[in-house]
Amino acid sequence: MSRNVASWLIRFRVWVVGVIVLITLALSYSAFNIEVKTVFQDLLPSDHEYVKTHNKFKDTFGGSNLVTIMVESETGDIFQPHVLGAVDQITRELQKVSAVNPFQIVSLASKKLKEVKASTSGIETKPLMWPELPETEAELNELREKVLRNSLVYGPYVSGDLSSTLITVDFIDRLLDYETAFTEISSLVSAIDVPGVKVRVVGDPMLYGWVNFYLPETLNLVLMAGLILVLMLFVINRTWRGTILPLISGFVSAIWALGISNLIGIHFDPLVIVIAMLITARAVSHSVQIITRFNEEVEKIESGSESVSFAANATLSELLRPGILGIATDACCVAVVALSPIPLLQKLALLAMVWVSTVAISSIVLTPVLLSWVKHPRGYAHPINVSWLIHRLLDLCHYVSVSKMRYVMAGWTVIVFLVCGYFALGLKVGDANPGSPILWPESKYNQDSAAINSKFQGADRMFIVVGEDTPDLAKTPEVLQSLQQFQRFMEVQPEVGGTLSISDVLPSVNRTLREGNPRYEELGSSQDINGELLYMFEAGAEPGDMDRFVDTDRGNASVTLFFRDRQGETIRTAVARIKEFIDQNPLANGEYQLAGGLIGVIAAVNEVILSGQLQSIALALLILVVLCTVVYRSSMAGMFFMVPVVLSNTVTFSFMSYMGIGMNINTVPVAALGIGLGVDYALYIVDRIKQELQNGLDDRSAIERALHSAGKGVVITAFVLIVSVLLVYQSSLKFQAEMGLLVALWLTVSAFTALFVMPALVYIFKPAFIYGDTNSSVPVSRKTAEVIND
Amino acid sequence: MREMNRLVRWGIGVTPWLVIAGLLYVGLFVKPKPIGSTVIPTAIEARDRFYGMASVNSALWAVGADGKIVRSNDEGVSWSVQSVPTSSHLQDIAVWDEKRAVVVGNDGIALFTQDGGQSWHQSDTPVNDVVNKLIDVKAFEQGEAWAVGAFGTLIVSHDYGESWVYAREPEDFILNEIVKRADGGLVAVGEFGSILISENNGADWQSVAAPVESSLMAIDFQNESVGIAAGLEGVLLKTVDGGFTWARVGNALAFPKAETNPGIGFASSWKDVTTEHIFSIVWHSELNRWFGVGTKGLWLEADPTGVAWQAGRLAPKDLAWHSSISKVKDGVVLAGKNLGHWSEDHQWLVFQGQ
Repeated sequence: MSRNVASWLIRFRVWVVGVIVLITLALSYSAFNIEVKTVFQDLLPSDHEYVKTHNKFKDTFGGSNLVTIMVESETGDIFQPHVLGAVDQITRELQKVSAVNPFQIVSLASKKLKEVKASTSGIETKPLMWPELPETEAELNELREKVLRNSLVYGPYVSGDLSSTLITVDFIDRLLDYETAFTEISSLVSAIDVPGVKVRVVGDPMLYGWVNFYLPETLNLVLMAGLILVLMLFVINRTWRGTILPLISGFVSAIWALGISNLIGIHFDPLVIVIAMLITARAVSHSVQIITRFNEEVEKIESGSESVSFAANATLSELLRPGILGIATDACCVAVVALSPIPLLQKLALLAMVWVSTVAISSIVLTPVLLSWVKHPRGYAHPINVSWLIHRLLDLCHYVSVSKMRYVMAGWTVIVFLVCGYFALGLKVGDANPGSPILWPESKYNQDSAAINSKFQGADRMFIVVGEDTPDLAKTPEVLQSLQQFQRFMEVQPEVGGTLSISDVLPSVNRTLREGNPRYEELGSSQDINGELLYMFEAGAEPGDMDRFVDTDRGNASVTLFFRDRQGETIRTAVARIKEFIDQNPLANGEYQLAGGLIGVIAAVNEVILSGQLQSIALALLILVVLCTVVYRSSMAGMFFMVPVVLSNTVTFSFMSYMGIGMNINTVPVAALGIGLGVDYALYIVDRIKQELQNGLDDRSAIERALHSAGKGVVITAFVLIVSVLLVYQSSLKFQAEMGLLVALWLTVSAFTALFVMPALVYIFKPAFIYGDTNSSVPVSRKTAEVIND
Repeated sequence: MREMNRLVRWGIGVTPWLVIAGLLYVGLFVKPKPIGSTVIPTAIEARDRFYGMASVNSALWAVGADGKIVRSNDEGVSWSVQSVPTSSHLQDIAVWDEKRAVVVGNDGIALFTQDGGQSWHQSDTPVNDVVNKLIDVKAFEQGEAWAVGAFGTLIVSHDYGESWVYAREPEDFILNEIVKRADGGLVAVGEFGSILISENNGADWQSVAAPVESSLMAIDFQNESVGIAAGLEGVLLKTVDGGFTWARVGNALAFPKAETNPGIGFASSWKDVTTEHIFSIVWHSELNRWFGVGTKGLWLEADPTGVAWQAGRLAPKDLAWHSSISKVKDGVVLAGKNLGHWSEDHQWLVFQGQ
């Protein structure tokens, strides 16, 4: 069948190329207009329990896009006019930032931080430092005393050593654009040029802002990598066709994929660039295989006696099976990612699937068709010849595969698999280290984050909701007591820097009413008393001021947990403890609802990833096994091709675990693509061995022939791609750099397996689907072999 | 042999399908659940508020919010939480020896132990219909104990805290502390500058006029005649006649030592410190001086005259309040927002609950 398809494609080559060019032109408009951005809503699995709670209450209790700004005084405490001036200026300017929720700007200079004072005339509630800034020494001292007295401010908003204070601001999620928020806040902050005052900013909008900020750099790196790739292809392949055709192939598939994605409404996440590189690497590698085979076919042709189109035709028909099989496994494996309930991953899977599929056209079809036009098939573009080096290496592969060394190789494979498999079990879901894994530890963002987390209770928040939709439930002693117990229970975990709820507010109001006597720092004994305490705290407050603690009809109360880091382990432990508490302390009325805020959302994403992790690996392997079984009509074929895949993934996972790279929303798609990635090289080599055996060669020669042809393609692409991918390690984004490293590792392991391990295994086990049913096939293949050998 | 061969072949043939079935099963049904790591709570937590403290030999006891009692047997190096049959806030503790102690707290609760806190039992206390909150307890020889609290509660026990009776009709003001003079006279202080004295071990009580109208929080006697009472906004009163007449002291604090002393946190002058609330005051006979504590890390000290007072902050950045003092041989231990040891040479060491 592949022969028919091949000759048809070559016969109508003008039409084929014409149609591909037309489609490429048509799609390029759409491709170049694809939006490059991170859409926040896409990151959330919207059906998850936590995300539902988050979405229901985020406008009241705080969203996951909170930005925290720390104003730090370099000498002395913050109670100096120039420091407070900076706080005031930032607080005011924040109101002008797009998509900011003006009711959720909290700082010393906002109306939200208040002090409750008992005086002869009754209870007085007034903002600490609004609208006027203190100027005189006496006023500054008074403010300091007010802060020290107020446990809702001293600790959460002013650091223990009084050297820094926080400004927090939340956004209206649906209006938020990370890039705009980042630009506006950055310029606002850099406008603060006060000597002795240091300003630090963290929060997800800033984080993703930095990713966008480094986008040009990333693109430059990708371009550089492309350039190096082209250069190396030119040196090694020594022909223009060997240089330009892989490039065209990569380019066409990129245009098609991006164009189609834009048409079906998928945007391009800047963190996905690694995946784009990975798929382009596939396109290049398939294309190089075809060119290498073409060169070989050209060698076979008597000079001048046949046209190059015959060679092209032969190449296409021989490589159609392994090529398409490789692409199909890639596409199907990545399709498994679409099962995840996270929209970002679904869209990504779709994008990757489309992209990988286009490689079938751009490499497997377009490259050989274009090759059929080649004018001087035997000429070289430059005299430098490195192919002897490659063949020396391939001789080594052959020696290892057919000598006694093959058993050593098989043994080593098993050992490597077991050792790496053991370490791979240490792979963590969620972030494995403090700070954002997207950026380097020494990046400004991570430095800022570390500084804020060391001075304060923690910049990342989770909120838990207690109650139900019956008004005033949050005032009942039962709920308030339970909140206190819950907070005490949660604060035992060292990574939980602190917790805050209405249950902290009411006792301090009570204490204020009782002449500041700490023995009365306690909740009221009845709903009425608590209601009164709440009323006193609210007196003179604006609507919305209580939003951090309770909702408008007082039916639901929130507990905010402050986290010092967002490591997977930290969050898992916290969530498990929350559930433990709820189990042991059931409420008569109302219930605890998990979990909102940034940490709540991350917890949801991590749970989804964890529960889908084994699933997606198993399903991807299943698809691979089934496809190979069907194509080679042998269940053993499925087992056989599992070897390179399982090995490359085990090694990579153990490496991730060793490097502290966790499975998160950014790494999952790379890992999924990697599963399909492991098999391509092995398919080309093993398929070639099978062909040569069918042609009547004995197995030692078949393996030698396969290694020196298909194997040469593997060496070239692997080497070229590894070098260019490693260039990405220079990225200012740690995530990009690490993913570059991972892809390089994947390529190395799968190339090594294809070159050394697979031929050895073929020679050891002699599987029937490769060796064929010798009795029936010998006469036919002998004949063919004679034809070729003549 | 042939059988074996067939078996092996069959095995080889069936393995791939088993693998496929296994993958399918994992792919469809295996969903790992997150497992968190275990966290071991420390005896002293950030949220703790300790209201009362007692020491006997090298053992220390502290009691506080949410029914928490902790004990250390090594002068505060390590602590352990004792299990208590209540979650009410506990306000004070008094001890007879290392085994016997009594605790009082909110809701009129009193607890006693006879085994060093291995087991705590609820005492039989009288309650009124309005508010029951016991704030202070003192232990004396032969199992006698006195406790005072909100709503003028004044109760006494003669069986090491097991059962209690009213020693006076409740009245609508808060009593904050009760002490026994060396000669056996009982003196209690409380809200609105209230001072009550009984010269016949609680049978009759007489009210004494104080020179202030604000709340008095603490009182102690040096001997049968000289005593100090302290209260809100830095009020210090001295008596030399067993508590019948009082005069304000502490004006000498006005000398501005703080400004020249870098160890004094953010107190810009003595005025700030002396206007802080004072929550506890004790006479330390071994060290021959007065100790006091209050809000925002306040410490107070005076010579035996009780007139020349010094004050400051325990540590520059320690702004925790303290409500209870217990005497140890080289200084005092304090309970409040944190627990710690304040030595005679002014070194502040916060106890970490191991």
